[in-house]
Amino acid sequence: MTLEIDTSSSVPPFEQLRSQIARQVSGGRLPAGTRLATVRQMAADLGLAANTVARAYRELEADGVIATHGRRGTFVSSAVLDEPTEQAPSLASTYARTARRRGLTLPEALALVERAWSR
Amino acid sequence: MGPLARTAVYVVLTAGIVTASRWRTARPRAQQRMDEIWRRTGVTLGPEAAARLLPVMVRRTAWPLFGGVLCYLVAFVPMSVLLEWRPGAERGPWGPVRDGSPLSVLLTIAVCGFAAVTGSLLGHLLVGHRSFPRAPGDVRSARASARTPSDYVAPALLSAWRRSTLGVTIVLVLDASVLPAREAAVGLVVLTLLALTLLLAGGSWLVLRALLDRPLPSASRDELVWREAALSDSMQQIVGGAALVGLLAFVTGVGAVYLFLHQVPLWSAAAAVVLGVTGTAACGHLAWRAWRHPAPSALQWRGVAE
Repeated sequence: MTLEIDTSSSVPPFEQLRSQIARQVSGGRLPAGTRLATVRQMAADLGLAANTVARAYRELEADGVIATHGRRGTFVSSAVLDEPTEQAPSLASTYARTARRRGLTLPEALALVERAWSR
Repeated sequence: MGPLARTAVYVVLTAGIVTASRWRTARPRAQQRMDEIWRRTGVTLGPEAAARLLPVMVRRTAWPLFGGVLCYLVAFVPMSVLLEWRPGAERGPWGPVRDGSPLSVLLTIAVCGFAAVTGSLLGHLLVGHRSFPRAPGDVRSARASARTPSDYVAPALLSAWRRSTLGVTIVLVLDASVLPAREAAVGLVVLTLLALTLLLAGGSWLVLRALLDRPLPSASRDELVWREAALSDSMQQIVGGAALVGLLAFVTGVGAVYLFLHQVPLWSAAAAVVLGVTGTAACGHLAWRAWRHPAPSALQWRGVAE
């Protein structure tokens, strides 16, 4: 349940935060219904700007990993547990098959993934 | 020099000696506290981190103690008047009271305990607002989930606090319905103590929230575990103090009804007996729970608590 951010890393802090929370939720270490630290508290603990943490939370919310319930706080969503991480490889091979059938090259397929990833 | 002035002089002298002695030994006691945290969590910090954190621990040890001792001694001066009062006297210090000497002792203990815990709470609030300095480096560690008091305070202690607050509320209502009509002076003092105890419970909750909201800037998972253990240490002291004062106030409130059994209606005497019995049973149950689940969950989920 602990997060570790390396500010000297080439990966931006918001992305480190987003991926670590998402991984902990899918791994079951942050169970559904767990209330996450507030943006202000997380930012103070990690020494990051509040906007950086808020961006990570926004992206997690868009992915359905967490849900914000007004003033009650931000909670781990229960829906994400229905999509275990083990499904990721099979989903990736389905995408690769579809991309090849449509005649896309590997760089073109990866570019689409990157575009969808950064949204 | 009258007895009150003499007591005041003794108290001021004792306060000076005790405070100077405690202040002088704050550093070794803080070091001892750090060693205890290390032993409990199994987390060893390097000499650089230890040197950085020791001054903060000295402040966290010294100020609550100083506040507690000071307020205790300040409260003892007026309360010592009660101890001068002997049974059989025509008038008590706050009016005509018969057969009230045991209550005076109870009240003195409860008020002095209340003052000590209030002073200690103010000390915690004063130093709790200063966070530990952040370690140099690029790596930062934090807890993902929100912090709550139940993560840092042992379940039995938290339960003792809730139950003692509930007990004080019930006794306050019971005493308010019978004592002022029968024993206005004593009733007023007991009711004031009970009301102040409830205020202290509220104040303790606010201080707990203030401490929880302070950042825990950590450079590694180990340092985070260590800081959370230190936070847990402070919070358990606050909750333990509030629970103790609640228990003392509860006993004093029930004692006040017992002592005036011949003057109060039968229903309130029966209620006092029931409260006394259930209070004892609750204490026994809590002791059992404390034995079964001694550690707060913040330390349990990391598997570092004993």
